Amino acid sequence: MASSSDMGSADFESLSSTSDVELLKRAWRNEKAAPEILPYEGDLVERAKGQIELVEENIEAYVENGIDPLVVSLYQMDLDRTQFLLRSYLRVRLLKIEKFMFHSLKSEEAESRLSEQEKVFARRCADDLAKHFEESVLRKLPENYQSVLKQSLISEVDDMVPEPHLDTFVACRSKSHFTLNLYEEGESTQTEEMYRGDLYFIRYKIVKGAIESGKMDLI
Amino acid sequence: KLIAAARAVPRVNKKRRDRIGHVREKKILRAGRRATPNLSIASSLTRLSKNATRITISSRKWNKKGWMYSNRNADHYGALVHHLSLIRNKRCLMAYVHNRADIVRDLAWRVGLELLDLPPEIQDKLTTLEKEYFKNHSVAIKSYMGKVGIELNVDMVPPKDPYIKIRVVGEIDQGIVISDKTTNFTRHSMHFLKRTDAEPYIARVTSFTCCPSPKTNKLIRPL
Repeated sequence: MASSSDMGSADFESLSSTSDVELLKRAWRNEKAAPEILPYEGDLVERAKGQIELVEENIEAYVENGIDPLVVSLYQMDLDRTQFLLRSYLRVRLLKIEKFMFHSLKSEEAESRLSEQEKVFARRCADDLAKHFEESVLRKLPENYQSVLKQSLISEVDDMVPEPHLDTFVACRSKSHFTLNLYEEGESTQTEEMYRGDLYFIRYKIVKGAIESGKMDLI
Repeated sequence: KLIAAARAVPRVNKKRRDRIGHVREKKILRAGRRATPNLSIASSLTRLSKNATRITISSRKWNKKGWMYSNRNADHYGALVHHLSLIRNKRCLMAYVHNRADIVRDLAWRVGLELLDLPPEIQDKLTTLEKEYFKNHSVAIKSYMGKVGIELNVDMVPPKDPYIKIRVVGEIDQGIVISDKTTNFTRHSMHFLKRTDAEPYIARVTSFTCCPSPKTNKLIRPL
């Protein structure tokens, strides 16, 4: 990771934009700003883990060889930063799962965005919380009202499931030139031209597709 | 009596909300959390509801099936009002329990995954059910961390320096081992530790300073 930055300056821009650290940073930023959980970057996480281990071994070797401690501490700093990125990325995802437990298990789309371990975690969390609710409140309510997901047996949909707010405003920047449909399909199609590097403050719902395909980045 | 109890339930809620379908984010009130007395209101309320509901439910079902304008009588409206108030009570109660569960989860992330790491003032305010929930949740988090192979509890703040200066403010048990060296944490001594080693102790300080009377054992304050 540190070595990727001592390439020639002409290639620096293009190289650094594809190095794993940059990709991880981009994924982390997107995840932090988005109101719902985004697709899991499994390969990226695996590669980052491998690189971190590699650099740790290097550092230990340097310390033993007695290389200048300043250089070693620089490598250590870089390693710490990358580790922080990785941990924070996973943490943000876990916190989002915790917040919207029942929703992520209910909808197919949300479930497909979780990694295997996250799915297990989500199921355990939901079970724990459902058990907690049942013990403290629902046991004592009359029969038709004992469901965690529905208000009563008469409700047709699961009303008691908190859902992520897709209407929140997010700041985003477009990476290339394209047109965006400002309204949902079916309604009036007012489009907006997005040029490269434009900054927008817009509702998340509208840019959702663009973010997933990589055309826009959240800030 | 039912109405009086129903009026008591929204007072139980810190922030009143009508629809639990969109649970909004709340500021966390650390010092002012009330404990179990509210649950007794809840259980008395539900006992009343149970008795009255048996009549209502049967009449409601009958009304749903054979609903015609001429079938509406006084009972139908009474049943409807009762049903709506029951649902509202259920929402209030669930919202209250849900919020407390959120606070419990937040504590687990901020302070530590062991129940005994929490300061005694907070432990007093948690019911046994919530302590159970805390334990179950920590186990779930630990198993996830184990599977992924990365500890997610450290590095809560982006790192600026690899080493930080700290001063010990409270008392700590002697002979704590940090990264192969035993350190002597006497009171008011200053140390130069690695960030990852000191973090769990610092986390305890930042969570305590919001409590009214911090009287805890392990305290380190970073300089």
